[in-house]
Amino acid sequence: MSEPLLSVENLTMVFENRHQTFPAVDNLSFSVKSGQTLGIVGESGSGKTMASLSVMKLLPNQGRVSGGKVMFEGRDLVPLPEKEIQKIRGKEISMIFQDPMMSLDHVYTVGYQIVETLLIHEKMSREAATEKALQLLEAVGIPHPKRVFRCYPFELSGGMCQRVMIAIALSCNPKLLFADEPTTALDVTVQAQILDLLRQVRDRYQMGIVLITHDLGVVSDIADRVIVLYAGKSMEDAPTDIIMNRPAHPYTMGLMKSAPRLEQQVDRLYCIEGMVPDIRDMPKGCRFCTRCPLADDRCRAEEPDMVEIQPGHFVRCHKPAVEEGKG
Amino acid sequence: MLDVRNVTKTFPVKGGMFSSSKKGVVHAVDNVSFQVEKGETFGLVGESGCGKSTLSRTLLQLIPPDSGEIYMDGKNLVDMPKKELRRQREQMRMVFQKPFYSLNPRRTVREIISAPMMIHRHYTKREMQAEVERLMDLVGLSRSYIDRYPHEFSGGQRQRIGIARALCLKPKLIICDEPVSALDVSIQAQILNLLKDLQKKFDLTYIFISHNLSVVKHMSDHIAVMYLGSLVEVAPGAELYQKARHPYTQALLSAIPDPGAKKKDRIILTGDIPSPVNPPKGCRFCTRCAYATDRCRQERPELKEMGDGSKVACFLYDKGGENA
Amino acid sequence: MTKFILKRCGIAVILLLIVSTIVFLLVHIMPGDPVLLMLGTDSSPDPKAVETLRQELGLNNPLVVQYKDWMFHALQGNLGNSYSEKIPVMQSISSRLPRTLELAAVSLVLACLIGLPLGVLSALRRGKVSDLVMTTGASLGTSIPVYVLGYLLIIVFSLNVFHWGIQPLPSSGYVDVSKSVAGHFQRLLMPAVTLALGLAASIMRMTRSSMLEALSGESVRALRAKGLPEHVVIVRHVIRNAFIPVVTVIGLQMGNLIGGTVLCETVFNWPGLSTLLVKAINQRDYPLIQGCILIMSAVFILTNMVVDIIYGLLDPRAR
Repeated sequence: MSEPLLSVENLTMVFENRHQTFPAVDNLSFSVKSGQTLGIVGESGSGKTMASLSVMKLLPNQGRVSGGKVMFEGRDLVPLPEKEIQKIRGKEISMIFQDPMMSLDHVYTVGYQIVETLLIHEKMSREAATEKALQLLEAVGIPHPKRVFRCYPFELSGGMCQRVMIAIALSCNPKLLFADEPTTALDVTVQAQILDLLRQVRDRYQMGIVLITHDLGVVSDIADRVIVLYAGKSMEDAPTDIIMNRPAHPYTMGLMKSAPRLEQQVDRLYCIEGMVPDIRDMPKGCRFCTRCPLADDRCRAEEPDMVEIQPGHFVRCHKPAVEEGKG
Repeated sequence: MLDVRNVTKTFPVKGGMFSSSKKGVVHAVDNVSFQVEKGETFGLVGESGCGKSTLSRTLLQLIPPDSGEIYMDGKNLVDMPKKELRRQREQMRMVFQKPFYSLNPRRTVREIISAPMMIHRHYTKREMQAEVERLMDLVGLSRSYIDRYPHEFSGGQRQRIGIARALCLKPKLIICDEPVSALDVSIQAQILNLLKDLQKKFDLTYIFISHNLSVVKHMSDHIAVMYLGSLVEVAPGAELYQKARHPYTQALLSAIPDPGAKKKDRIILTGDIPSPVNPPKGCRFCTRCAYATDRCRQERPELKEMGDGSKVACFLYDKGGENA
Repeated sequence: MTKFILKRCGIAVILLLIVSTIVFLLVHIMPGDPVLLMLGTDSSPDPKAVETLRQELGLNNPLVVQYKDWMFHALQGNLGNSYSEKIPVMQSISSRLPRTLELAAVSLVLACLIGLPLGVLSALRRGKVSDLVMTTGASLGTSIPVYVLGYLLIIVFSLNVFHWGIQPLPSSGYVDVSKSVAGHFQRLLMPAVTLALGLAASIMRMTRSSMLEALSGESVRALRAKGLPEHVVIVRHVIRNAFIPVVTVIGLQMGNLIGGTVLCETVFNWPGLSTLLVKAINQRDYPLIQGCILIMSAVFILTNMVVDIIYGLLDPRAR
């Protein structure tokens, strides 16, 4: 029996100004179980960051959730008042962001920032919090924790800062961790270290992880399931090896084919022609129809629903690639 | 076509306004040598801080190197008189990393692309107009955008503008410094294809710099791997992937998460890159290398030929044959 | 940290030396002959008297010698004798300096008390009506000239135009604290407020833009993600970061206040350094001019040094 830890149902999030409303996330549903890693893949404008911010209600001023439910451990987070959500943030659900140098406050030491989180959520003395902070620094693989505790973020490298962010995120033993492009700003070798760390942490604490990225490689490395977003809507939702090896949606296939691969040598990369449509100018039918090589009139007129073409494999497409002999 | 010999560039780190003593020296580029053939793409791979950007700027003499020679078609660019250098510069151009920051936000597309023309020669307005339009067609930008400003474009389009600017005045060599790192995968593919098409059309030579080994391998004929200011391995693209010799190259390759590839044994490097102000005495990589010996910690290995077109700087291969 | 402070002190000393040299040179380049002014310009003075006075004042020596003499004495605290007032310069200045300092300090404190909170509030309420009101107020504050505002205040509060029940404030003059505390502060209030309003406006705008920049940074999002209550995020992190550039601005303003209060002092007849300096310039009173400017510069440099050190305390990156 595995009840999902987090279950997002039909989430819609919009940007508003005085004149208009633009949906950045449209009817998105996904779920995560304990110990499971979900990858949310999408390019810029896909809404992946906004979706994760919506869960923790960290949206910018002009954004708001306009529909749907976010069920966390049986509670719907959407209608919760700010005070209640603050108790959950950092304690039950944590989040780490893309650029660790920008996310830490350079005016306070690293140690202070970890202790601060602990003191807000747990009832403990400052000494106990300091002790725990040192343990956390060691657990995330930082050498000389006592020295780093007294350092300021600008004195550390990007990789170290990201480890500090992870330490802060783990400090109150959260059940769920959102990682928004955690390795994009880092070098490849450091990226490998950080992903390894996330894997260890997930296994040790049985946390659920939601990894948001545009890098299919990262996702293939660490995620159990992947959901592909395009222009605010989910396009495909399946276990990782199916997405990587037998994707059904033309967009997913296009993404896989456009990335240069080490083992192959091709002359020209496969290209998805065109660009993501403007948020104000969405096509009437399927969002991807303006760039899809398979698009026909039905695609342009009618938006497809999310359909389970095989057990555990969902696609939003009128013409998904279906395996021979099945479906 | 391009012959780089023993280029070195250091930056002093001073202790502040009143101390004349140097706190240290940043060895950004340390005795780097390589050759680039006409019409090929030479890839340069390395992580942040390895000096690849500094190296690219010394090639164009934007930062003059402390020592070494750079021969372009037989002429040494270092210490060349300014007038002659200017003429040489017409043939060597650069495409920059961050499309947003490398375009002047207060200039229109027309002004950005025609800027080199205005600086180097005297063209009539009509000639410039025709040329700008031709370049925009080449890079796939609609002519109607000619009077717009950079902030009105997406990242991919801005990079196209940067490429058009680089193509102006028909250069022979283009240095691409991380041209696609800031772009989405699908746009990245478009830009890379564009670069390849242009290369075929105009017989261009590229130096392609990136931290992304997959992209570099896709584009390049020869690849040089750089670590902390020096080249550790130079090899043809396919060779590098199949027979990576230097431990750092092997670690880089294994660190790349490749979609669809089988799960492999990762070589996880310990520690962070050492500071370029105080590099290790021996081989630059010895602090993180799994195979480091005492000799590695004392002596710096030189780039040596391996016989099959590749060069490695590592004592593991010192006997001439392959050991590891 | 100590090294940082010592370095700042060293820079201050060097600056002071440079400033004094420039002042000396400028003053002696100015057209106008102090000797003639002292002896009266209506009739052509007796050349012998002119010559004697010149000799006495050392004005016939080469410039370098004059400079050396002045410097030598200045380092001992003797800035010479004023040509017009016939008393040591130091005495002139030291009687006026505390008054100017007092006016400047009180104005600055008032300006901070008004400007800083308003800046923070308007940033937090950006786009709302209250923000609009405050920003417009700030624009007004910077545009109204000191003499207009000063006279307006006098009209309202001294001449009792509106016939309010309160006692009218005296509009000018100076009363020493030792003689009458109430009288002293009564006379200090209006000039301080006049200066403070203009300053408060620029402090408010600076604070507002600094706050907005800090609020839009990614670190705010990460801080909220930690579960920190909003007021902790704002006070402990955003304000702390936003105030760093504001501190520099306030420090610079202090410098403006020391020498730039001429108009205010004139309107309210407040006997400060600025009016002394203007008088000295008009009379080509070299020692007095040099002395005034030197002291003003010293205060300015000192304040900036203090600001630099405070900056270093606030922002670990600067050390």
